[in-house]
Amino acid sequence: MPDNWSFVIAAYLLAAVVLGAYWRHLVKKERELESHERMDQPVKGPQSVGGHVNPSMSGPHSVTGHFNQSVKGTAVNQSVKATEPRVPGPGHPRSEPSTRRPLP
Amino acid sequence: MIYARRAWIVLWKDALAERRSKEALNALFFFTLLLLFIFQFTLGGDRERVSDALPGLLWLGFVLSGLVGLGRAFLTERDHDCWEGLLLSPGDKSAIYLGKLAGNLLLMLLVETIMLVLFGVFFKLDVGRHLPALAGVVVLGTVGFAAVGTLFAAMTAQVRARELLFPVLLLPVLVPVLLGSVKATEAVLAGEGLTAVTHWLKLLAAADAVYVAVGVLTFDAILEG
Amino acid sequence: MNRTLGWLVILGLVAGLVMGFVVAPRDAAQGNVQRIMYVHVPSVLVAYLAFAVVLIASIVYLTTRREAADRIGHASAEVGVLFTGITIASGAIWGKPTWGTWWTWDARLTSVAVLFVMYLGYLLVRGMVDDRERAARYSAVVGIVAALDVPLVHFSVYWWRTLHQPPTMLKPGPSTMPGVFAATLLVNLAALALVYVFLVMKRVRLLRREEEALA
Repeated sequence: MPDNWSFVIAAYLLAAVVLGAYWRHLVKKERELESHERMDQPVKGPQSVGGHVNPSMSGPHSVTGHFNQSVKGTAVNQSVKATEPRVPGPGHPRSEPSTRRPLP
Repeated sequence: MIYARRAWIVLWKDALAERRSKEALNALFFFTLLLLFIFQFTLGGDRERVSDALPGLLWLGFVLSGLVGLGRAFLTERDHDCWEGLLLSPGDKSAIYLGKLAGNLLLMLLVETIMLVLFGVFFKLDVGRHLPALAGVVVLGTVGFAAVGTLFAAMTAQVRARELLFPVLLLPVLVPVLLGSVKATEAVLAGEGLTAVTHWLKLLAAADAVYVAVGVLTFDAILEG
Repeated sequence: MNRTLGWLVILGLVAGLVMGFVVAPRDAAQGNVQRIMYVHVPSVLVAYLAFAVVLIASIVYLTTRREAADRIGHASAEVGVLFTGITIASGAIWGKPTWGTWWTWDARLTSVAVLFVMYLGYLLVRGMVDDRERAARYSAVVGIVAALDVPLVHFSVYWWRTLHQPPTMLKPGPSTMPGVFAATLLVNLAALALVYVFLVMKRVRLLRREEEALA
């Protein structure tokens, strides 16, 4: 009986591709979420002090946020979740508003 | 037995509403008729082939009209803002499930009877000869259908794409009921009698029991909120 | 913990491959095509494991409303559907050279196909119901109904295919297996089970983070 190795390889490859692609998809989404969270840090800082924030003002806030970050160790930032202060990663101007709910 | 009374009230309300408007029944009757036309057009040529496929066609017709009928099971509650009424009713919500189940079961059995008569007329199916056994199989299968159908109909009533989600959820789950019903109907129509298919009947009975039990136990969780 | 699990997964996969291609001998009847079984059979077993977890998580969620149960059920259903898909595909790839056809309505393929569609429905509910709490409740009910249906599907499809049929059905996986075949299957099963645990844990973590991001 012919050995049909191509079929065997195809089956194993398929399993590897399916599982691998799913794993990569999870890793990618996790990285996206991490970078969102880090971008939320600087904005959430002043927010926690000042109370209500108008989302349309997220521009200037992010600027002050970044300023706070680079200064490091400002009291404002300590009140937020304890992730290590880092320069925001690539793509930072993009997506903050989408992770925050609009205020009623 | 307040519980039973509550179930009965739901059944009575639905039956009364239906008797006044006759909306569902008329539409379903015409739907059944149309289905038979379509079966005839798509398969009607070869008498031999059709008579072999009759049990399957019969249940196909039951399933299709059942999907239409059950899909509307909670229509009135949703469209006329009566959902809160269901939520606020006192006591065990599963009584509502049983009431709805009974109503849907009666409706489906009625439609299936009409379809059997039409099959007798259009496809020369001799229904009368094996009527008791046939009736037994039809009831067993329809109970299972109505049990899961009522549960999933309540679930999808308020979902965005309910016309799609309802059959997609229902049909795979009903494969055992479908298989068992068709096989048992085959045996009955071939004159073999029910004793030849006791394993299928037991499967149908087990499925019915499981579905009704799950429905009773989880209907509360479906209705909430 | 996660790191050790990751290494265990790699170890398990390597062991499985070695067993499957080096240690296990060439099958006398089917030839080397039979090696596909080392992917196909463990996959379906892991899928059943996944859906059993979905059942338990769904029941726990409905009785306690603990969100962790909901997340585990969701993640396990996703990974379970993946493994079911791998089962069907590897079965078809095995079937082509062996039976001469990609698909046949034999008992096992058919029941796995029904299983696949049932839990795809579970994932559809998750995707189509916007309110997270309602999606959790609804999919828990679907998870329970689907799991309870599995034995019913199994018997009905099996009887449908085997009664009144001549016994020409090839049952994938020989019933009397020499030790090395069984051992290879077990090693691959352990490897894929580890993959399952790894993926589910990652997915649960991701779900928790997604919820926190929305909060």
